[in-house]
Amino acid sequence: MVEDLLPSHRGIAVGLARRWLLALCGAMLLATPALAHQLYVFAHARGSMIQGEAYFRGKIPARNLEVKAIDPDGRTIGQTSTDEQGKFRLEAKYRCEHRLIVATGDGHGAEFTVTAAQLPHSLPTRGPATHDHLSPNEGRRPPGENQQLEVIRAEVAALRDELQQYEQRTRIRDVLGGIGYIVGLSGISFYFLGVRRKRSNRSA
Amino acid sequence: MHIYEGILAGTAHGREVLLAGAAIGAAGTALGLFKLDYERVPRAAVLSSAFFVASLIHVPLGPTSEHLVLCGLMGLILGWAAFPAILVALLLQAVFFSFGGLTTLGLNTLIMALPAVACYYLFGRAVRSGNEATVFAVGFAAGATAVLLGAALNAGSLTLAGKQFREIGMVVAALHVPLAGIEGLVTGSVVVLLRKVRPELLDAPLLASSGQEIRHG
Repeated sequence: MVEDLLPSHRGIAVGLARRWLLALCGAMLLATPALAHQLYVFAHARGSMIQGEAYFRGKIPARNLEVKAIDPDGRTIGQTSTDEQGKFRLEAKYRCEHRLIVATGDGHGAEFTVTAAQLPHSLPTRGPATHDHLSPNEGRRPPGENQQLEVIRAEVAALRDELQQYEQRTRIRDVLGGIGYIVGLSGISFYFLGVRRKRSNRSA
Repeated sequence: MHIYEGILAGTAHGREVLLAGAAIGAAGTALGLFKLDYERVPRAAVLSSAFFVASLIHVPLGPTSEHLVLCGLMGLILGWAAFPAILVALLLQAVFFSFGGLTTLGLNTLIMALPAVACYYLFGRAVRSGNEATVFAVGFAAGATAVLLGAALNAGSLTLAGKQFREIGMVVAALHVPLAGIEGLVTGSVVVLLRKVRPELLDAPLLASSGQEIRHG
């Protein structure tokens, strides 16, 4: 039959569907380190200047968002906003804990705390007395040592940033794990459906 | 299209809304499980997986970004079984990707599954039409309606939780208008494709390609 040699329309449609699915899978793989609305904030102090950045999952900069600094008593002690790269700078006026809060306006937000110990002694203190566990004698150290400390701090900040990035990456095994759970759950529901059917067969 | 974890748990009204959402979500899930039959289990699993993975594909919109939700499609194919399918996908998203969260799980299930069920009743019959253009239009309407209804439910529960959340609800609702268009286009195309290759998923007859007959060899 001639019809047998010609691929049916249904066959073409199935082929098209397969191609679509392949394209979709490709897009999913490309988009895996995707941005989400999960927002992250990270900051550290250099001298009295607090520098930080806000970004969405996958290191997508969170642009033009308001950043508020709150002291331990809940009062606003500073305000700035993120630039085009999601970075922000804020001059600390007090030596106290700075809770930096960023909100996107749709209910997503994040915060990060810069501890009082990271800020210089020259600033007036505010809130509860600050205890320096890390560097009680910083002011009395020779200047060279302070510089070294500064370098170490910058390195630790970079490491923390990297660690945070690592934890946020969506890994392919998370995706596969999730799908595996769904397959398992459908297996469990088949089991219960089987029990239901057996019972109704018995009662019938 | 979900309520951010932790935003409502802080106020008394917010906790009431969360509890009510969880109760209605649980009732819907129970009904969905009751209506789940042999044929619907694999469908629910596949769509649940699609919903779970779709949250990774983001469309940047303004200061935030949104992703496909596929609620309209889930409603058309699954009916009430959309409740357990969405609940499972949201739970896994919360555990694996930290999207949403456990306290908001019930309310978020309700926000997404109720529009899906509404689409089932609103468009379930029309999607069986024999005209390709009509099928696409119905799919588009289902996808867009599900997103807009979800956004409205989202804004509504935020407003119920307190005046301070109203502004957030409005912003979220406004952001969902363009998403509704994208979702409509995707749902429309998928529904037309399904009618051509797997019409039984929609309990509908096979849709012939326009102007051509299907030959049976």
